[in-house]
Amino acid sequence: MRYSSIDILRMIAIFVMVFVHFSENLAGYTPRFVGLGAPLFALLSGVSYQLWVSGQQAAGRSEAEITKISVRRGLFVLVLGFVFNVFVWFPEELFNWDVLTFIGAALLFLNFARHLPLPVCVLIAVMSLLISPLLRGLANYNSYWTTGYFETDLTLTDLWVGFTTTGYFPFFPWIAYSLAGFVTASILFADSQVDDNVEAPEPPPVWPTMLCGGALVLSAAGLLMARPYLPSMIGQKLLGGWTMFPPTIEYVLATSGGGLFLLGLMHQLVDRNPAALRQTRLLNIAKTFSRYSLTIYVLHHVAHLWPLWIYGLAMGVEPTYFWQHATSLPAAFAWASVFLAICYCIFNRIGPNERHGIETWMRWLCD
Amino acid sequence: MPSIERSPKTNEQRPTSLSSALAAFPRGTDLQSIAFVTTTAKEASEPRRILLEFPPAIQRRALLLSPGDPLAADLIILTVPSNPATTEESQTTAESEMLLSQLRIWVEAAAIAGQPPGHLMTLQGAQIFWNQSRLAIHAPAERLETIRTALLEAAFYEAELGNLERTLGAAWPQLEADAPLAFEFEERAIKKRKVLQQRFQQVMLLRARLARIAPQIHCPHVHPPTLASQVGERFRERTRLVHRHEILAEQLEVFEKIYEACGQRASDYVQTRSSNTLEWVIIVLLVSQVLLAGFEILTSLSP
Repeated sequence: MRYSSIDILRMIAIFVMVFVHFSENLAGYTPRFVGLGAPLFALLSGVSYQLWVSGQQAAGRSEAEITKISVRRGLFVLVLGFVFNVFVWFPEELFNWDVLTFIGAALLFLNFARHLPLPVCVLIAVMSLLISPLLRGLANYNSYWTTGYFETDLTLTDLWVGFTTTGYFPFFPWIAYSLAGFVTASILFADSQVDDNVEAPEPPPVWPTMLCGGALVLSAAGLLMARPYLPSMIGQKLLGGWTMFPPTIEYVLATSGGGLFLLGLMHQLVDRNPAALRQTRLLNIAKTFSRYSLTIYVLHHVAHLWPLWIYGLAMGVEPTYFWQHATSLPAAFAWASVFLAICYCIFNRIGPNERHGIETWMRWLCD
Repeated sequence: MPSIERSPKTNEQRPTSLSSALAAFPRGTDLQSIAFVTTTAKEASEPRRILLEFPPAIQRRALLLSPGDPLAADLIILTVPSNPATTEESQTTAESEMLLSQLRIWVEAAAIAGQPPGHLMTLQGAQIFWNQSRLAIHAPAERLETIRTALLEAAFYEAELGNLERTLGAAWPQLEADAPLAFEFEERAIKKRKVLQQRFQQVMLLRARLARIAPQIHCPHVHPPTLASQVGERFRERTRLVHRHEILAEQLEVFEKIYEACGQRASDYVQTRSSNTLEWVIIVLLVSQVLLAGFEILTSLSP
């Protein structure tokens, strides 16, 4: 079952990421809404995975088949992440642990987690959040970020540390987003696949999801405000203020809480609102961006980074010479808008129900 | 489990047609609308005449309804007394056949689709036609009351058994769908637990209803026999009440076994899941500790 609320949220996540990346990489400006797109994207990966599993089970697929497809899909996204690092960035960036490698790993982990009771999934999410500052402390996080960017040596230890703790999107605590999405979808969309033999149940209430999300946001706000007054052991080492690199407890709580709140709110306002569901034109826009989100994620990097590298080489300077000072901020935003408009035109022409792009390759190879 | 009950017409819909039907029958013909109500429904009993009080286990009584009574009738009984001045031998065959034909037509007018339109029973000068909602008795006037009471009782048990049969008959597809859960329970079936619980309870209720009428269905023949007792016994034989009761008991046993096993599997599954959750919590905490320790060792070994 397809939910328009998820399409809308995924579209928002993609829009945020496109505008942030264009402005950062072309104009060297970090917008205020930086760090909001990727958490939503990761959260929705968990939601979508749960809905996909429910759909497969309802279609009568065996557990073994679902596992095989899940593993293949996870590996596909993981490998795609490495290919992306090499070709969009540079070969030396192979192990920078970007969002695609994380989502690939998360899909592999979710395939394991789907067999666990939901409270255990929640516990894993909480533990991953709590141990991540400790792991960062043990790994000496700042030593991997001396230039403001993640740098690592090609040693087994550094690869492991980068993947779990110090990379751009480390497994700990980012897996908390995917698990939060997975658990929420299990509860919120419990009526998505109704057994023919059971009377259609009442749709689960939305307010617990929104309440949970709101509580997480409030607790993050409370921690941020209380942090200066807390002992340095907690305030400095366990908490870390509002930062995406590293993803602090406050940051993860606020962004995951905000995502959950938005998910509940949109589900109530869109999926359970017949008037909203009649806005097919607007919903089709969201559906188009949502269906091609993976393709758009890869393409938008290619669209704004490759010209920089090529132009740099053509000018006889370092490929990264124009990185972060190629255009002004308004121009960067304009390019981002043009890119999204072109994407919409192309993918809308193909049709939201047609399958092309990287998503099609994944299905062809994995399903 | 859907409950399929007969839906008799209310008396408000009936009086005209039934009263006009009386005109076609000989003098002394009587028409009674009867409702079977629970003994606890005092407000239903108060203004009405109680025709029959069933045994305490059944907790029902038969009430006589007046024309225009808002209470729905479960059974309509037409009693036609035999002429006391004439004997069977003196009554002309043509008259007798016409009356029987009229009774048959009256009974069959209320036939339910898919059910036999009517049955005929003759015993010692008493002729009885019936189907699920109508009963016509043609018997000597002095015996009409006792025959009516005997048939009223037997008809109630037959109707009760018919209701049980229909309810159970409609539940077979559900049972077939639920049967796999009697062998193996899984996470996806958790949301069906409440439904399974309700179905098990409903099976037990059906079992109880069946058990409550068992003494009356299996009761031995009365000795010395009377016409009324013989009519009641013959009615039970003709409607195969004993056989049907046994079959229903066997079928209910199948339902009971399957839903009992479903309940057991569901309970086992939930208990196992709870203990598994606790084990997983311990495992996660241990893995976290191992991860931290391993990380510490790994980073301390780095150059």
